[in-house]
Amino acid sequence: MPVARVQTISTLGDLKSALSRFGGQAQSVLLAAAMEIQRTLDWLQERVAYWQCEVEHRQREVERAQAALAVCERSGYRDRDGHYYQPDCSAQRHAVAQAQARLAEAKVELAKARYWLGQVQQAAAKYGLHADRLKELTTSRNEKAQAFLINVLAELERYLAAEMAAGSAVVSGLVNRMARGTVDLSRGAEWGKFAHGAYEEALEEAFPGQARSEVRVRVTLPDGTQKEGRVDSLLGGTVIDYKTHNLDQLNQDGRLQRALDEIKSQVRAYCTSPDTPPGATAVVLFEFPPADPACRQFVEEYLAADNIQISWGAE
Amino acid sequence: MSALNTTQEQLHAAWQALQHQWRASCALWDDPVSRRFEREFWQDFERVVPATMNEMQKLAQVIAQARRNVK
Repeated sequence: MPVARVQTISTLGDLKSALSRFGGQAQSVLLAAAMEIQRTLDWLQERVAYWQCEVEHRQREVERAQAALAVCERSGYRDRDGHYYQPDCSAQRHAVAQAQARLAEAKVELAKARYWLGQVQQAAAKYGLHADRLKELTTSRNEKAQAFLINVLAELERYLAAEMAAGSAVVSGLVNRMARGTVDLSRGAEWGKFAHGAYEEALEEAFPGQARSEVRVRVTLPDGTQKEGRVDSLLGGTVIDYKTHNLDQLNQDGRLQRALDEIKSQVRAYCTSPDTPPGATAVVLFEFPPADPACRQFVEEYLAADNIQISWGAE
Repeated sequence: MSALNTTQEQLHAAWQALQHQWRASCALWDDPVSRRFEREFWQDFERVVPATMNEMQKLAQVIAQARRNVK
């Protein structure tokens, strides 16, 4: 178990670093994208303004060319015999045609610039909704995710220290007592008492001055009456309850859920006691996990639903 | 290729690195707390990041078309 815990601590540290790195990279990417969008929009707006001016300018050219053509066409005359002499206005007509073609070209370019400005604005607005979500995700949400991992890491480190100390104390104490013939493993109650004592001693050794064991607290029963309870160990705001249940056996006997409900009720009463720190959380340290993975998952999820964490002993 | 394409590729690479780390973490961290983390945080990343990359790619295509078509 400690090896698995150490690996978990290491991988969660890596995950936290990866989240932090991704947050920074995503922020840079969003900034670069925002600048590129703004550059494109500025350029398109400049193009729209340019072609708008060109349309007006070329419109005036057309008007001037048409005026010149009208002057030319009015310059025809009749002689004394009444013959009409039509002036040659082909150059003016050509100038009008050229000016009209240039005006048409400017109108087409203006329409294209306006169309693509609209398209980019539309795509940028749609992208902007997603970019805002990513920004929120990589700032405040990312910070919360990292804070979550920091808490998990702190808890894991604490339990790792406690488990290692407790494990070694149980083993050495067991060997000594067995050698003296004072522990009979066939008697569950005796073993449970011994294991509780060993875990409590180990925790107090690992956290001198911080961990307290067999703490008497007032608890309120579901019917409202108060009685005295005894918390196995109290470490800061964490209530630690040791259990030596054979979960596989309880599962086979159909008594598992009832046993878990009793555990829930017990630790909930400890956590809400006026004698434990406000907002106290609970950890149940089972001596060993069930062999059946489905049973293990059920136990973990059933207790997690009430914010009760589990620490498995020997694995 | 527009500058936005390069930007989109940078985001893609960063996202792949984060996904790789998440998968590595899942292999070792599998308990109700990890499932809570996945529910409360990771699923948001999986929803938001690919959708943003998708929209960024579409925008890059529109910008590239605009650059080609507008004089």
